[in-house]
Amino acid sequence: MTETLLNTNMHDIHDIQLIRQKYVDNTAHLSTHPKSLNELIELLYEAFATNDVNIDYVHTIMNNYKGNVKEWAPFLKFQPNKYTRNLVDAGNGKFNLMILCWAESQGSSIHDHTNSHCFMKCIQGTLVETKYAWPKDGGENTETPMEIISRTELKDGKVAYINDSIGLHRVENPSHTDTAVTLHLYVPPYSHCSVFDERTGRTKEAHVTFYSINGLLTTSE
Amino acid sequence: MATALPSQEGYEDDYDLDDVDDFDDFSDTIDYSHLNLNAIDYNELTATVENPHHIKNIQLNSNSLLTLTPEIDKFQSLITLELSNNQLVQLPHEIIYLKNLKNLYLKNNSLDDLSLPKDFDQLKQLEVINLGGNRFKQFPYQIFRMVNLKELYMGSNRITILPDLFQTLTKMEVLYLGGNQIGNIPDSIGYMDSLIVLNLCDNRLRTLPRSISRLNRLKSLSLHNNQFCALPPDIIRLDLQELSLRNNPLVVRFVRDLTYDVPTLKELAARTIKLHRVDYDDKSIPKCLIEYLNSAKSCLNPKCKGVYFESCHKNIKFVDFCGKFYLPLLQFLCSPACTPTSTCSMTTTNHSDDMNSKFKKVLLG
Repeated sequence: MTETLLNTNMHDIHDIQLIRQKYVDNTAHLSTHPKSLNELIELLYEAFATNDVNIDYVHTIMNNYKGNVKEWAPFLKFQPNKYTRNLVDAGNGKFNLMILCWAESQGSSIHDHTNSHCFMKCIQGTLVETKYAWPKDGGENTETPMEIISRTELKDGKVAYINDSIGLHRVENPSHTDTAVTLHLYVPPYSHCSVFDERTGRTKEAHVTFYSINGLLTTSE
Repeated sequence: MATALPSQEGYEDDYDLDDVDDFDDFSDTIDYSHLNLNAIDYNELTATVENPHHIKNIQLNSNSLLTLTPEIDKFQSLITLELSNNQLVQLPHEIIYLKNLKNLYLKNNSLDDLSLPKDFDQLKQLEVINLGGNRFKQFPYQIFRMVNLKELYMGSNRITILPDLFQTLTKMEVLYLGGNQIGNIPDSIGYMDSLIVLNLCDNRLRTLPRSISRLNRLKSLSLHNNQFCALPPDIIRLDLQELSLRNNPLVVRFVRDLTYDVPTLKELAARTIKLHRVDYDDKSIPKCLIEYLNSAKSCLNPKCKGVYFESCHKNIKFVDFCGKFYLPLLQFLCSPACTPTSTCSMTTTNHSDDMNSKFKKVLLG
């Protein structure tokens, strides 16, 4: 990225440095390979220290983080009726890091992401992500089946990214014998989103909740 | 769910560490999981064990076992036996002697209809059994005698027909039948009074028995990836929290198939008798006709007093269920004239117009 120096006064090196700093990647000094869940969280806090967030860096560390089942143990809570959302870190309100546990054949509704970035990393089993186009606005009474943009399989640490400008998605565990686990990062966090009826494109508000926070079950369950 | 001690592999097995508190003292556990073993005999199992009678939990999942040692019955205190992700073709008959066995995990093996011992139901205290990911073509009949079962997982097998014997499983809370080729759900499923989770996804189902409305403890019903066109109206009596219906033809295909079988003369006469409350008894008409007349079903249109016998008109009515789901319910009505907006069936030149108008009317109906 090039910068034009308007004032070439040679003894104002301090000013020049100040200008240069604006264009320097504030995550350049940080590791890109978190070796543990705690390190991933630390790096996220660093990356979110200012209001300029380098989303590419966030995507990189989510991708490179490997982790192991011992770290995830407090958040691995499966339920026979529905997938669970287990908050790992509330990110000072700037991001939410959570682990979702999908028992056999469990899936989500089609939903949007309320203007947030969503990173989803598959850390166990296999998930299928089906992306949908936003329903066209045909007026109050039109009902049109929603259009599928893509269908991809996620496994072995692969990270999927989505935000509202890309579209909507449904995530499901296609297996009837194995569970699946995903690590999610939302920037910024959100507590409401819209859910969509695949058959008609009709939408409704939904309140998203946590099954557990820091490993402890929330009382609403 | 399987309980297992954590291993090095990050992405392979599944773990539900909620249950790890069951085992306070790990000396009651033998763990030879994730070791690529082809076989393991009793001596190898007990090599580091002081007293086999103390063993409550054996983990042998994720190996390449073709058989299980017949000396397994020497572990008389065994509560949990984890054999998932192996290559088992048969279970030794001696397994039935494990009087304390509560949890048996056998998912992802090569078991088929002949693999379970004939008297497998001797495991009377068994509560959880996972037979998912095997090669069962028939539902194992021994299961119906195992009345203490609470959770049964038969996902991803090759079952096509379910025997109508489920009423014996009155303690069952979770029944997982997803990923088979089941074409029909028998009536007895509605008599499993303790059922909380019923998973029928990924099969070949078109309807549910009406008895499903009896399951007043049912909270979660998975019907996705099937051939459902509509659901029985009684389903709204259930207090469901989760209902999955994605990937079913639902209304679209059903509208195309909407037909009305013209009633027989016998039926028309019977309808008239019922509607006008004409008296009849076994002195005036043959017994078989009395039985026929008594089998009359009421038209579901609340404004109609009519009845029907075999010939009825199927109508779809959309119902908003608990403010969460928008379901197409199947109503049986005595004739097309009974619908608030009757579906037309002929005399339009343009075929797709015909479809569209049918569709619209059904949606509004």
